[in-house]
Amino acid sequence: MNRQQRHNSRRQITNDPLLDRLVRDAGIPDADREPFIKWIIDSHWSEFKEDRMNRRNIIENDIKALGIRLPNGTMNKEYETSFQLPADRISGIALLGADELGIEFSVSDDGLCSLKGIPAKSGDFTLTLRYRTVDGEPLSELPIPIAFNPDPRSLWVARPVPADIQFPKADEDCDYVCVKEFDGKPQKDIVAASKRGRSHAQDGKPRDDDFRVSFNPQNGWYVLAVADGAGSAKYSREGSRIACTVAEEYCKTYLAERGHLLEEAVGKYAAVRSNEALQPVVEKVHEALFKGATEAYRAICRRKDECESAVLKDFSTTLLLAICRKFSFGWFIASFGVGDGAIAIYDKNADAVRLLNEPDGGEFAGQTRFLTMESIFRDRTRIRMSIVPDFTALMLMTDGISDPFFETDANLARKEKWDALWDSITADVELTDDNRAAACQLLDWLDFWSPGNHDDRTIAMVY
Amino acid sequence: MRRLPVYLLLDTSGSMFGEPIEAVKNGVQVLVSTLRQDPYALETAYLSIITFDSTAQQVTPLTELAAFQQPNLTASGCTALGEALSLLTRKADQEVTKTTMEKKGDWKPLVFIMTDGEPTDDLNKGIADFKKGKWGMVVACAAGSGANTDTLKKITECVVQLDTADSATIKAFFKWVSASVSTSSMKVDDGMGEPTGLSELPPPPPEVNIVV
Repeated sequence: MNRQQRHNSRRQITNDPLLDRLVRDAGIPDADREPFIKWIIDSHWSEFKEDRMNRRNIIENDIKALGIRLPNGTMNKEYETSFQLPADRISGIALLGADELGIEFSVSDDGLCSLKGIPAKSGDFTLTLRYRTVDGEPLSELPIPIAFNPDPRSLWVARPVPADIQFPKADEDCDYVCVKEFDGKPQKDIVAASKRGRSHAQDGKPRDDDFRVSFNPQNGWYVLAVADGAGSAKYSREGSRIACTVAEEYCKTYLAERGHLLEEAVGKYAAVRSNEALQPVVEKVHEALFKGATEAYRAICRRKDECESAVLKDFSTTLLLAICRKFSFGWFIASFGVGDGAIAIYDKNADAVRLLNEPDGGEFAGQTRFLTMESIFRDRTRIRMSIVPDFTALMLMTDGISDPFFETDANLARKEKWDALWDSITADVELTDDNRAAACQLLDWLDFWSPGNHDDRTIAMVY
Repeated sequence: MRRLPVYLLLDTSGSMFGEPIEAVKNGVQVLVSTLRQDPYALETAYLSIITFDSTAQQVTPLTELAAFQQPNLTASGCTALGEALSLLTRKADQEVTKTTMEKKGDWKPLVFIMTDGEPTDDLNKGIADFKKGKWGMVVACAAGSGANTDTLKKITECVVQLDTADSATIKAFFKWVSASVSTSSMKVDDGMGEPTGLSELPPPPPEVNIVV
């Protein structure tokens, strides 16, 4: 190596005259110059990397400390939420996994992150928030859990009732009794519908409710019976069927044979309205309704005897029974009720509603009284009577309808609650004269949605 | 609508550190996601979590299942079960709707207590408070051999024991809790009232022993 070459090699270490001079002035021997500079770079490079990583860690910890929590959503229901990230500290923000769930993710310039969309699936998911902290560092990721509830309606499944059960019953039933015009005036008709509740459908259990309605054109008497078999009693569907059939049949027959005596008594009472005149009415009504209910009770007892190892309680059912007839002075209505549910004379334009039963509710559900309890024929007067000029509807319903619309017995007295019920029914059901289609419409109306209320639903009305 | 309140009282004392507390967290997660698939529970069950270590705190107030978010549970300190019972009674009194003329109140709360050790505070005061409340089914679970079932019997008739506090066993317990809540929400929906004894709940899995 000649001088020039040596000189060049010395200069070529850094190509930087200043640095070369500093290295030379520091007295670093030629041979150490390169390893020394390499050492400096290596040690500072790792320090640099460590610092960068630390900066990333600090930011990551701060982002984690934000405690981003996404509220739960519900499948098929609009979801929208947002959270704030520090846009001055991180960039390239993305939320992985949101797309697949049907959620659109967007970030504004100032770091406001928005989620919006309609969840396509239900379940617990983990989204990944990905962002850049420091240039040169790997992208950071933070798992963020998100939960979408199933659509409650989709969880209810209608399972068929096993074909071989004793006392089978159709899952739904409806009826329309068309009362022909009289004297050129439309007459009130009867419409009734009954449907297995979602909770029974879910378990493949049969409908426990029942109803029976009739109108006798010979004497003008309407008879309506609605019954709710107790959910916990194994043959209650048969109990409710017998209760309705027997009670309705008994009243119908009674009124056909002796109705004229009741009509006479009602006519006299309506003219004078005295207690004395009331007595014969009470007697006749008692003979029809109370005995009708007693007959139903006896029929259930007989059915129980036919079944091996069955007890009367297995047939537990409520019974709401009503008869009514139009007179020259207005309508006479009488009822008998045991158990919960409601019987009422509803007049849209009146200030109040006239209740024709006093529900046997307890503070807790399952404490109602049943037709199958002998004591119910003694413990209180279960008969109610009323004379009104006219009405919009006489309604009998099981608690599958009264619970969601009234919740408590006290609310049954509130007219506005009845208005809400009436509005709900008439929104779906065309209650025009002689409209036989109303029966099916009423059946469809019974599908109304009310969280926590999925019992069998039955309603019968004269309108 | 009548809600079915469910209170979980979970021991988060130091002895639960590690596998047990992770299993409990996992258990709560499984409980919630299972119940969300149950139409009765999703609509009616409301869940609250009270943890107890050196003190008791309600980490999740009574929340509808649909909105429930998993709380972060950590284990440290001693076992203030007495304080937890007092807090439970106070919270339930505030959170559970009472029946009025216009509104049907909630169902009586279901309570599930899980602990792995002896209470370190004044349990009798807690029990005295607790007895003032109106409860549905109350189940106390002794997780592992460290918990004294006789002590738990003072709180409720229904005591179950887990042989070990490992994750599989704790998971089995929570699955049973979830099935029990399902059954209860179905019962109340059907108008049969709340269950009152262990016999009305689903049979516990082999890992969960009923203490008689």
